[in-house]
Amino acid sequence: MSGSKALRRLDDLLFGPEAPARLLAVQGLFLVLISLRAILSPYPKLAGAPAGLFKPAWVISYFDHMPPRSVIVAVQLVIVAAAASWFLIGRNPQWRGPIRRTTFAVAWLGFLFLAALRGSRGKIFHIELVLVWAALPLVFAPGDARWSDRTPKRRYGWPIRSAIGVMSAIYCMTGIWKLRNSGTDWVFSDNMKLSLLWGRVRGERPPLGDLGVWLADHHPLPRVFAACILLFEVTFPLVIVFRRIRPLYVAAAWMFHLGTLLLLGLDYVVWPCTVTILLVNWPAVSDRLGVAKPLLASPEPVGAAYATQEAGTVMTT
Amino acid sequence: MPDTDRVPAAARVFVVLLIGALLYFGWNAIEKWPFTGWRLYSEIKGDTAGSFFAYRLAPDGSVHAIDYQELPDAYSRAPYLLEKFDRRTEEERERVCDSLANGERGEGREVDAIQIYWERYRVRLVDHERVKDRIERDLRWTCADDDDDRSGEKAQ
Repeated sequence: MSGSKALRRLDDLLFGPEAPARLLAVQGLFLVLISLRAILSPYPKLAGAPAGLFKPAWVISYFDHMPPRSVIVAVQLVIVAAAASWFLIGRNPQWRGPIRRTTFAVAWLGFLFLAALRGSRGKIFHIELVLVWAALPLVFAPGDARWSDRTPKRRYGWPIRSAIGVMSAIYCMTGIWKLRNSGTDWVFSDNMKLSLLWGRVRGERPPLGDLGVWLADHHPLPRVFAACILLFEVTFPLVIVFRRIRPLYVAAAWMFHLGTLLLLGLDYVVWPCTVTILLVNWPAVSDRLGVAKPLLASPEPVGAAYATQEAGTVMTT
Repeated sequence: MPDTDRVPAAARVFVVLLIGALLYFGWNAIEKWPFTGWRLYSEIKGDTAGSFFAYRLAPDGSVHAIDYQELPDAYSRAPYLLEKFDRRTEEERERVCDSLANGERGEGREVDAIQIYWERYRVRLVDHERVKDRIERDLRWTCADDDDDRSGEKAQ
């Protein structure tokens, strides 16, 4: 491989082409996830926290106390309205570009605000952060993508690929810190066994706490789990380079985070959702299953671009 | 690829800065939410673990663990503020204690003071069952025991 080809290949990893349909699907699914999270998480219950229990996150450090319930509910409604506008008004060819860009940015900012409130209670809160950061490049994505257009282009590809890069950096950093703080003892000591035994130090026992105790009692299962987790995190950036391993990492993300939810009581389900949205090739899935046209398809006639649809496997293209 | 299909230069700069910033804050463990060190569960768990716990001192001298599930939801994560309580300033500690005292009084319970204990627990397997014992309990602070309310509520 010549120097220029290698450089081009490297550039493609973060800024290479993707089908506009895929960008549309990723944006839409991010908005669905953001809206669901905004509605289903008990953000309004944060209101009324005494100022003494409020330690504002850096990004909202201009607040000296938790905003009132009315403000939090208003932000939730704005997020949902922005997402709905993205889907409904964004289908209009005339308004598609500006409406989609504006509404996605509004939804992202609203979600950042809500997530910051949860992170303002004296402890760094990571649960929503992977979604916050991975969705950020999409804020600057073109708003004129069409579901019928499957021709890969760089201007539609860079937001997706850079979002995958952001997500990979985050996962890899979590693994690196385990190595920096604990070394290989994170795997080869009783670390995971004791984590399973502790469950949550505070609060209710995890849903499958008894199974966690059983696993802790069966050497070397806890070490196998720890090794898999560390390997998954540290090697996550491989998904940037090797598309064929993406299904493996989607499956691993679900197993890892569902495991921590059920065995340890730690709800990081937003993380595998984000992984799935970014690593699955949704147009290919849709074409294979023959579904998912109604909301994303634009009303104008389908153009010839569809003819150039990428062939290949569902999740690796 | 047509000439019009280019990645804007600003987008390239933005992405490089974004990933660079995430790596910089992450590698240096700088906690400025939404930037963070990503040190999730990176420390090895031992068979003992300690933390600070808040108790309500009633007028009759009895001591009761604060049950956050009985307080309004806004108090549910107050235990987070008890972590690293020893690293907080005296004023910050008083603000937390006054807030907890107000919460308890709001639920109709009498409060003479809030007491913060350092408690240490040990977990182990005994006959395949999980056993958790408290192995250390030490009163560290008594607060919210005066008429001054530093919770910040009066200021609003």
